[in-house]
Amino acid sequence: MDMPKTIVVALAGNPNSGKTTLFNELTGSHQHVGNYPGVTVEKKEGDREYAGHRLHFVDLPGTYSLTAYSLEEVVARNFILHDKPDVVVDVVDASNLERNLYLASMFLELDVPVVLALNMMDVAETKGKQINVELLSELFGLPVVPVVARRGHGAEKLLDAVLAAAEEGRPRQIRINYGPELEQHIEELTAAIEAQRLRAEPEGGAAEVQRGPLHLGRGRQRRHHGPGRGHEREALKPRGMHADLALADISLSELPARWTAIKLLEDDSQVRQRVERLGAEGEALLRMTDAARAHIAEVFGDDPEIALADRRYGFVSGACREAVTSVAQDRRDWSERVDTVLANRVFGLPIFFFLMWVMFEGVFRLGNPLMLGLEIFFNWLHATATAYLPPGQLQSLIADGVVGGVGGVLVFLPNILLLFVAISLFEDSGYMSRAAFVVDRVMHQVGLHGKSFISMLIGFGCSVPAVLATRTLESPRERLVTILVVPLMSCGARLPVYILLTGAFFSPQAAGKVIFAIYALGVFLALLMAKLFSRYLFPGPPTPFVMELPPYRFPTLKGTLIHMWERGWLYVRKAGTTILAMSVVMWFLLSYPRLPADPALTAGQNAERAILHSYAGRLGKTLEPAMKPLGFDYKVATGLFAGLAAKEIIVSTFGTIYSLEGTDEKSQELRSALRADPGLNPLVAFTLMVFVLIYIPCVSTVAAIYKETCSWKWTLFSVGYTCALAWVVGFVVYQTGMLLGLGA
Amino acid sequence: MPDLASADLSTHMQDYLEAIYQMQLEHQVARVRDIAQRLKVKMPSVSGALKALKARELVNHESYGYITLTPEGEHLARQVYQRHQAIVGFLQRIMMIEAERAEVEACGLEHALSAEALERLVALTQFMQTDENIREQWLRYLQKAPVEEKPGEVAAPAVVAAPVVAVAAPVAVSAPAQAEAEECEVEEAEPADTRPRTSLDHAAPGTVSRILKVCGQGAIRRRLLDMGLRPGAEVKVERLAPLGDPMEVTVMEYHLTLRREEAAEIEVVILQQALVDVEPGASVTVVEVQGTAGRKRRLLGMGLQAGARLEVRKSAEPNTVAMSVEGNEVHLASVIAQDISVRREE
Repeated sequence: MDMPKTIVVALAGNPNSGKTTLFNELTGSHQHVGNYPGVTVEKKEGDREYAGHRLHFVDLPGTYSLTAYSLEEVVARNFILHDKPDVVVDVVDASNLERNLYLASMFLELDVPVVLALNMMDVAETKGKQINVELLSELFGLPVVPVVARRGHGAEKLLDAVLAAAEEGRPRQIRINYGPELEQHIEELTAAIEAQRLRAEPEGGAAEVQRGPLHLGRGRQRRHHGPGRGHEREALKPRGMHADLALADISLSELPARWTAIKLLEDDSQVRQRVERLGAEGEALLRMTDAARAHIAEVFGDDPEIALADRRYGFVSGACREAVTSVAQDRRDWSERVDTVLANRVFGLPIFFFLMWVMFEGVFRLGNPLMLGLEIFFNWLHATATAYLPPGQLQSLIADGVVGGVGGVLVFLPNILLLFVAISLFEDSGYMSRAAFVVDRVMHQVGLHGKSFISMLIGFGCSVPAVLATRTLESPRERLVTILVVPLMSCGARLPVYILLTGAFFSPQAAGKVIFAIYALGVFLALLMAKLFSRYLFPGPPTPFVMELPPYRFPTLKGTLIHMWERGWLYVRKAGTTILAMSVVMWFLLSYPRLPADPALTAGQNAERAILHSYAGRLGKTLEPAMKPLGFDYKVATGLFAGLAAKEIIVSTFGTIYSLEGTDEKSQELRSALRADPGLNPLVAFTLMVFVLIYIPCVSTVAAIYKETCSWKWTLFSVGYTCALAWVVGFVVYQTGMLLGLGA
Repeated sequence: MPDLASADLSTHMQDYLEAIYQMQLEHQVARVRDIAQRLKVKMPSVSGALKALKARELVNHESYGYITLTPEGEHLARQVYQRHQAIVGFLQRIMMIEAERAEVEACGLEHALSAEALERLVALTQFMQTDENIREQWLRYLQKAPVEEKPGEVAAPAVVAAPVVAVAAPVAVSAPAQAEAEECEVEEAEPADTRPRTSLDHAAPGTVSRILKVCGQGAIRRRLLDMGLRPGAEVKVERLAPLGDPMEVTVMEYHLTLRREEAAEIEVVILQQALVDVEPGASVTVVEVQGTAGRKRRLLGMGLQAGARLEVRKSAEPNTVAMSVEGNEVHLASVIAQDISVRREE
């Protein structure tokens, strides 16, 4: 059978240009559609058969430019340079044409076939704008296809244009004319780069710049540029997060010469480094570059970067002036009127806090009954497993290890799904960036970004997606600080521990206040540590808070459900993999070495002896001296150790330690057992809650931190500092309490 | 952030900071060679001084030999620079000494004056500028006194522009826009523009301005450019966040947020603003009146409608704005003046 050719199509565009919506429309895959800048940082792929061809779509991160300054931009441009897609579809928001075309103007220089998908034509029309598509196509020398991604209009025409572009390449090469002065320097440098190539590759490989039908399917040969050994050291530095994306493994001859020349004049750090690596010839090029830059700076009285950007904007705004006719337009659209209330100086913060309150009330009010239902289900599953499996180690492994461990995590699924629904509503409606706008001042004071707030908010639900959500932060520094402090936000898994302990040691009236105090302490510590980290660990200027406030849009039910499902699935997968594995490991540590049951004792007492005899129990014993100043004995230490897998496991471990079966945080028997323990009192219980709040984020979070930082150093730092902080704060709380005579 | 007074920096070091700061303003970065040239010292002494400044974490020595100020260094340098500018301003605008000489004299004075004397000197400069009558009296007095300057120069412009370095916006040249380009250049070359210049962070909500210059460095500057905040672009300040920072602006018909410290990097000339924000003495044209139909009618009765020209006067009462509209004296409450948008005259 004839294999159809695979055409690799990269989808590029500004954030909020409807790129992801179009991607879903083209591939039929279900993806998140958000309004918040930078939601699609991950590379998303999808396939489509069309007219006998196989099209492979890659959703590039949404960017405003293609510089070396931000992670998203580097990811996007390196994909084009490294993987050489056959066609780039640049999604352009027709209602915001000028800024969107600025990015398109950068694709002109990348020597890659580009198709402009003119999205949101309907919005542009309601804004009173008529766009002459043919003229725009003429001016840019690119095929332009109007589409309305939300309604799926124009998708087929776009696919036709993509196929044509893949086969024919660029119909006409339009060059941005940077004016005589700049052009002279660009041409000199381009010539020097081309000459260097010819010397480097005498076989004539350098002559190959234009790519046409011969190269169909070339994108299949992916380069893998994951973080190798050599990059590991670099990854330890916060700015090293870009390290694996450097242009290291691409030969200069594969970069378009004119683009390289322009980037050199712009002092693009990555291109500069790449040229530096050429040795003596590279040095000559850089000397030339520096001389040209100095000359341009003198002539224009400004940075070459400004001069170049200005010419580029000149080209774009000139094109817009010619191709767009504005009819009388609405002065203030409804989105702006909404902002006069939601982003208002007086009402902005109260509304923000009200919405946050509604979100949490909603999540917990609606979620708790569902959670109870799931608990009943897992209790039943546990009972069934115990009943049908022969007693012994397998029964214990399945019932206690697997069902107990995974079930204990999955019961939180309703709460987490609801939380994600709320967050998705905020994101898709466009409120999320207003929230960042409203609270940025506070975040900025502790060295964070308004967007960090969103991660911290998600942290109340679960630290894992919160760590993943830091991807919306551009600066590696702020991102790292956010990742480090996010686990201090008290996640849902810590709540059962608080409920158990407050239920046992505090009156129902006081319980709510105590739990609130713990949450507040978490927020306070997160802000404090953020301030300390950004001040002492990574001194330097903060990243700009130059963020688009997209127009408000009505969230679609489909979009919200997809979003909820995607993030919920992440949580379920975590439960199915990491937590499952850790549950088995923890089960092993808590069950071995085994102790033969003493027939003289009750089953409960045997269980208690067994757990204290196990590795975990022994570790707890070993840790006891270190925990004594906090008022914790070996039983508590054992429980805390078990909590490494997931913090709610502390509850079930206490259940085992206190010789009880089938306990949860509401269990009356466990509460009375805890109360009966002379080693525990309200002060110790409070200290324990503080400790549980702060100490090591659970294994899944640690895994997520490693995945996001690509650095063992920062992962271990995160583990280490939370332990140290937990101990210090716990010590202060306990000792102060003792001094105040609360330890009775 | 430390204060200059408490920072314990030698005058020598202060000069270095100031030089680096000025170079940063002009070229984003400074080089050892340029500093040596500017301060007329040898390159090794510059290196020595840089080492000392680096040890105090006031400067960064970046790759390729560039030198930039740390936030702390910039903070101090700005104080030194502002002190220098204050003295230059005093010498130029109050003492009416010509620019070049004022620069030289300021260099001598700035290290000689005590903090207290300087503070009062700044206060005097401000005082003289708040009230045009007093300044005019002083200028007349000065004119009679025997000074070297020609009388023509002494009768300096009545409105004093803020000491912001004005740079003509580079003009966009491109295939489709070439024709407009030349006209623009002529327009920009016209020096008689008396519209106020400021940095964007000082523009109140409702102000429409045109960007003259984008300062700052590396990532921040590039980001501003890429988002459309480039010389020549028009920006409208929409609002401030509830805590006063960041601010929301509109540029190229879309909404953007930026922190005030980022906005401080953007130099603008004000085109249009709320009547309440206009300084006394300025002539403006009403662009738009907002509010209820009743209020609009009442304002119309006073001659305040789109297209009306007026001159803002100094108001004797707080929370009111005084102006003359077609020869009539009009007083408005600030709240109402807030809703009247006016265009500045060139």
